[in-house]
Amino acid sequence: MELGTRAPAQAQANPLREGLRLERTPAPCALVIFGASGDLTRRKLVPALYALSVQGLLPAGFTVVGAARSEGTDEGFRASLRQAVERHGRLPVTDLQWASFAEGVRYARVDLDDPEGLAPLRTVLEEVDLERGTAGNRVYYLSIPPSGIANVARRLGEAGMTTPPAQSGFVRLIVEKPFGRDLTTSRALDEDLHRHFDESQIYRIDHYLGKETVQNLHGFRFANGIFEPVWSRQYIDHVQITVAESIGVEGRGGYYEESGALRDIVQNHIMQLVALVGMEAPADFSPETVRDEKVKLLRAIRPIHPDDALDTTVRGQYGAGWIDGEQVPGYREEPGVSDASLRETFVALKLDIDNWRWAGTPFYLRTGKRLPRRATEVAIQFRRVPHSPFGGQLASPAGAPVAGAIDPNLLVVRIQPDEGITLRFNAKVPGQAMRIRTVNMDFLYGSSFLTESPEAYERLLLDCMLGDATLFAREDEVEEAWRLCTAVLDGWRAHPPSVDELPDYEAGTWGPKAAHDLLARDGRSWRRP
Amino acid sequence: MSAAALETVRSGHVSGLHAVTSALAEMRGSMLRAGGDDTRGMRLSVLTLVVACADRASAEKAGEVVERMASRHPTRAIVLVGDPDGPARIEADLSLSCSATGGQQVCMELVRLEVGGESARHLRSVVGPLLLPDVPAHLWVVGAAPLTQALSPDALELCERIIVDSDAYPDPAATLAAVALVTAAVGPLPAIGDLAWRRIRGWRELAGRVFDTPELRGFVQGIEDVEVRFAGTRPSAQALLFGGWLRSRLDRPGFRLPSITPIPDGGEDEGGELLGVVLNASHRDRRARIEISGDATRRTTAVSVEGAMRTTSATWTVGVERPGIVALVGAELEEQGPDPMYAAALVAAVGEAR
Repeated sequence: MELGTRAPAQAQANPLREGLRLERTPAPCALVIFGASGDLTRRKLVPALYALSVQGLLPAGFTVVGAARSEGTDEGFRASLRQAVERHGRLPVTDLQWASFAEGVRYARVDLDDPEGLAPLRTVLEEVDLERGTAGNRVYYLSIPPSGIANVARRLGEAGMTTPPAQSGFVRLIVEKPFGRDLTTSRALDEDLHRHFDESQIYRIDHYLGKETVQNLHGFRFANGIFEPVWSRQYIDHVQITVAESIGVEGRGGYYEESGALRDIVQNHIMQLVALVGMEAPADFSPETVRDEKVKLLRAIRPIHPDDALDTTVRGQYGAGWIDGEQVPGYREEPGVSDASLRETFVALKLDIDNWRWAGTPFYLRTGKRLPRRATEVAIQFRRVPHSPFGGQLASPAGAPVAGAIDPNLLVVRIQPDEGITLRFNAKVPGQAMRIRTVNMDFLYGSSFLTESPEAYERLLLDCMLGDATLFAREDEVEEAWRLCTAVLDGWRAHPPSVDELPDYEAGTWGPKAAHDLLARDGRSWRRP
Repeated sequence: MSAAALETVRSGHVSGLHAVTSALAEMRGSMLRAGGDDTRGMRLSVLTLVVACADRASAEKAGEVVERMASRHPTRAIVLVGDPDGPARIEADLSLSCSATGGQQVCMELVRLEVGGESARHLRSVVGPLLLPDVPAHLWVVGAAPLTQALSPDALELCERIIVDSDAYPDPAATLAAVALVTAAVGPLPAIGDLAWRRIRGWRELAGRVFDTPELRGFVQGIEDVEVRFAGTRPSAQALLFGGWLRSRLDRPGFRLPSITPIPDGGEDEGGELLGVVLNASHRDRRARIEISGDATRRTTAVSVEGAMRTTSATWTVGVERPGIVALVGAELEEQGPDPMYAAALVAAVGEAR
């Protein structure tokens, strides 16, 4: 069954669209990529657009306009994109399909330092409107460093290129994370953007939300009657969310020195997961209803006072170690990183959510680089049975592991890799004695739905063209996440570690001892993903 | 997606129905006991597919199609050939085949069943015990098996979905009429999936997409006449269904019945495939002509809009890949429930064919 994941159809419906894959395709539009020569364009954006084109999901006349500072030609840009799609695309490139896609690929040189620097882009867009019927509809994708975002928005505004062409037309802006560096800069960025774009025109992209398994959290929670009744403090002891990476900073030392794990992962990806796991069921699946529920949850998170930051959070930094049988350098030995860096590459924190559903059921979050394996998982740890009828195997009241105790049930939603859901339950071991053993029941997402999943960017780009903002972060979501993270950053800044205290975990381990202690204090422990 | 290599891990032959279920259970257990770390201790199945074949030759071909779908559809497939006039017997060739991709193992149980004698007149009693519990059962009627049997009360009661190919029969119009009679009689379930309807899906998408553009949106309610061109000499189910679909979606005063035009020399496309669609429409003081034409590899849409002041035109071409039988049947297996668009198109097509 197709759930209502699309915005309501435009006023004048197309009767020939009903019953097909999409009730409607986007209106013809031009997608302008600022930062067209960048890595994201080659690896993700253009392969996603090509896949949409092959699947027939793009409107007739759809056009990609690459905008960058360097000189270039349409032909040269097309050739570089074909190479990128052949290398990074999930679908094979055929001459015919490529020719059809490449017809709608243009290039424009832009100089954002010059007040008239968007003139070549404007000319190209006017040509495209005339030749391909895009009718002034635009999506601007800012695939550029954060420091340049406000400037592009300003230039577009000054050039009069942010106003929708007519009542049914659109001009939208896609902004990549990070959305600021803290609450103040995030608000400043919003103010800058709002000078030229309405909030309804702004699409803040967090590619995690485009992942099939993240979207499946909605399906899992709200399309099954059996989980929601136990999805609360009454039955759940605590929730663990892990976003673990085995890679280091991969040549992005300079960027990471500025951001760190809290800004890079917690403020966006992890807080989105917290919202999806904890939110109430939306009345419908429209963008504002879903995002209202997420914001309600984020607002219910108990603020962390900067003075308490060290009690409820743990920061860490990796030193040299071994991963996958290979020796890897420590963070401070990475290119672009100061040898006295205090930047965190690991964060663990405990959140309390003050509402009726979750009061007393903490959410433990952790993320880090150079952990033993790549894994993004949400683990719902249920309460232990109140009494074991099998003798001698009683659970401790605090929920701490006891030798021989019956393990509590555990539900793990694996977001990557090996997307799926595992339920841990207890069963009798065959034999004369009444011995109980834990078994896992695995649902592998791919084994039941072997249709190849679309890439996150395919879904998100299409949604933006359709005007469906459900899977994009709204201003207040971003702000609530920053409110929490900024308090933590303030607390950390007030109590910096000494240079000698870091690194405090070896690459290839599950983080510093303090992270273990954070849970041990509550009589709990991290699970091994 | 790249199909994972299918490996038959267990196979066998048994006589009698009771032996089939116990042999399948034994094969599954034996595989799990022998499996390594990558063998999961559970079975994933999304449906039972019953494949009704007219004879052994078509059963062999259908079995190959089913095997090629295996890595995408964790299924129990029962390929069935009945011979009521032959000697009484129930013989089954069984195989358990698995494919592994990225640590995920997907298995398919294939039962090739030959039923002879009186039992072949009571196939529900043969197939019923072999259906997996709690998951849908789909019946794929291969080729031009007699519709009276394929759409018999037994079949309708047993299955959630019946997949037919109305273009496989010598008289597609009569076939559509028979299917329409059954769907009218049985209500929404079982759902009917028609491969002819699925073959025209790409054409429907293109026709629908034309009117997504703001300039042409207004014309969709002003479509006045339609020509559907197809390869062959006798109206194919695809052409009739396409015309029926347009009629069901656009029926209003001023809309003329679609004309179905045969193109006898349709090149390689002799199977009733669509070759083109022409739509003429008006909106306010303008007229538009939309022609979609194509073959097995590409389709071209040409639009011209004539107004009082000027005439504009545009053409675009897209590459297409005509789906093979594996893709067509596979797509049907992913469907659930009835398709109201098909039901409406069918009723209109039958009315048109009269």
